[in-house]
Amino acid sequence: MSGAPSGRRFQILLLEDNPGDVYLFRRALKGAGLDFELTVIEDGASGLAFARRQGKYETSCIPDLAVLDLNLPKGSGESVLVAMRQSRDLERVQVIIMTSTATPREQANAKALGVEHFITKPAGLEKFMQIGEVVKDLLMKGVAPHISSTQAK
Amino acid sequence: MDEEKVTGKDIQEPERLDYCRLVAEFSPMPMAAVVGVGHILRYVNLAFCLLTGKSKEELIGTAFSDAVPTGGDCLSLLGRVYRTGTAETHTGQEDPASHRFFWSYVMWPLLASDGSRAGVMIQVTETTPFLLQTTGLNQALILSSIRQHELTDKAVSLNEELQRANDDLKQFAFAASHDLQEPLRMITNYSELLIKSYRGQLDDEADVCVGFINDGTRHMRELLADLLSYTETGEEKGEANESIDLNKIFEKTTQNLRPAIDESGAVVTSSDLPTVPGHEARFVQLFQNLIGNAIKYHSQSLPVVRVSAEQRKNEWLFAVADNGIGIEPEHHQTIFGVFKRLHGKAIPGTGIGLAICQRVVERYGGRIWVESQVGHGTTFYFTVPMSREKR
Repeated sequence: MSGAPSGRRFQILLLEDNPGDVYLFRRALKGAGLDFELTVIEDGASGLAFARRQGKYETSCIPDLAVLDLNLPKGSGESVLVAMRQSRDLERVQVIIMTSTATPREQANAKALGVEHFITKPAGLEKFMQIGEVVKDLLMKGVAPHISSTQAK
Repeated sequence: MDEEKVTGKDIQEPERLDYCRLVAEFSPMPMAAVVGVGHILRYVNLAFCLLTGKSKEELIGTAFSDAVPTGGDCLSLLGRVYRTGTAETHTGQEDPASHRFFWSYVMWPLLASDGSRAGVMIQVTETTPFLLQTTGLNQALILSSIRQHELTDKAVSLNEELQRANDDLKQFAFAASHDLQEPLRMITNYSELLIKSYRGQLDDEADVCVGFINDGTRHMRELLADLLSYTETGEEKGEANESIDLNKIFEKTTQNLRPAIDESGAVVTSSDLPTVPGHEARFVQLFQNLIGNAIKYHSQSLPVVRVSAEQRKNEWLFAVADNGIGIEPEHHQTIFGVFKRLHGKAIPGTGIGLAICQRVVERYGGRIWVESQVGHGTTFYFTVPMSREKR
C-alpha cells in the first residue's frame, strides 16, 4: 500500500493558518503512505498571489491537489478558490475544503466551484488521520490516465 | 365686573386687570373676546384653546368664524350684540361640520373707556352631554399624548438597547461555536497524538489522563453547542404568523424521541391539542425537551407521559405530566437556569433543555412552571396566549 504506488511524488498545496492542523495534516498524509511535497500558505493574501501566480509564486509548480481552509487572516479561502478557478494554470486542480465552520452558503459555493470534498476539521485524532486516505484516493483517481481531468462528480 | 362686590373693597387698577384676566383665564367655560366688525379674536382663555384645539398664538388675530365652526345664526347674533350693545343668549347651535355637537353662547358687549362699542365677549357652553365630558377628556388626552410621546421615546431607546444586546449575543454565539471550539479541537487531537506517539513509553496513568482530558473537551463541546442552540432560540424575526398544529408537533416529537421511548418502554400520549401561532422548530424544541426529560428522569416504574391542553379565558394551558422521580420544591425555580442540573453524570445532559423551554414559551408571551411531588411525578405547565384576532 505505502511507498509510491504511482511512482511519483505528489505536489500538495495546503492553505492553512493553524500550525497545529498543518502538523496533523502532514502526519495524516504520511500515515496514508503518500510520497508528497507539501507547500503551506498561511494567509488569504498569499493564497491569492499563489492562485494568480504572482510574486514569488510566479514559477511555483502546479499542485496535484489543493487543500483550503476557509477562515484565514488577510482574505478568505473562498476567494483563493475563485481565483484558482479563474486561472488557466490552476483551474483544473483538485480541491478539498478543510474548515472548522462553514455556512450553508459557503458549502453551496464550494460545490458550485467544483470542490471534491468538503471536510469539517475533526475533533479526534483518528478522524483527522482519515483525511490522509481521502487525499490519497483523490490523487490516485486523478493521476491514472495521464494528467488530471477532474470534472468528476 | 362683580369682583369688587365680592371683595368689598377697591382693588388697585393694575391688580384689578390681572385679577379680571385670571377669572376668565381659568374658567372651565371657553371664553373669548372679539373686537371690531370683523370679530377678530383679542383674547381667548385656556378652555377656549382646548375647545378649538389651537394655541393662543394661533387664535389671537384671527376671525371668530375661522376659529370656531359656527353656523350663520351665531354670526348674526354676534353682529347684533356688537351693534345694539345688548347681551344675548343663543342656545342649540349645531356644529355644521359634524352635526353631532351642540353648544350655546352667551354674548355681551365690551365697551371702551369712553363708552363706545369695542367688541363682544363670548362665552361658549357645550350643551351636548358628551361634549361636556370631552372638555375634561380633551385635557386628559393632551396630557396622555404628551406622556405617550415620552414613553415612545423611551421605548425606542430601550429597543435600541435590546437590539444592541441581541447583536452582542449573536457575536457571542459565534465566538462560542467557532472560536472556543477551535482550541478544544486542538487539545483533543494533540492529547490523543501524545498518547499514540508515546505508546509503550508512558505508563497506564497517561492513558487515564488523556481519557479525562478528552471527556472534558467533549463535555465542553456539548456545552458550547447547547449554548449556541439556546442563543439561537427566539432569534426569529417578526411575528409568529405560522399556524402550528400541536398534534403534528407531538407526533414529530415522539418520532424524534423514538429511541428513548423504545429503550425505556415509555407510554407517551396526548389529548387533542390546539393550533397556535408560532414557529414549528421552536415548539418541537419545547415538546422534545419536556417529554424527553419526562422519560429520562423516570422512576422504577415504566414511564408514563401525558401531554394535555385546556382552554382558559384568553390562553391555552398545557401540561406535560409524568410519573418519574419528581423534583424537590427548592429546585422548582432554579431548574430553568442555563446549565442548571440536579443530577450527576449518571444521567447525561448539559442542563440547557429547560432554559430553552422557558425561552421558547416566553418568546410567545406565555409562562412556564413546574409542580412536582418527589417519588410520584412531575407536571410541567406552560401557557400560550390565544391570538387576538382569533375568531
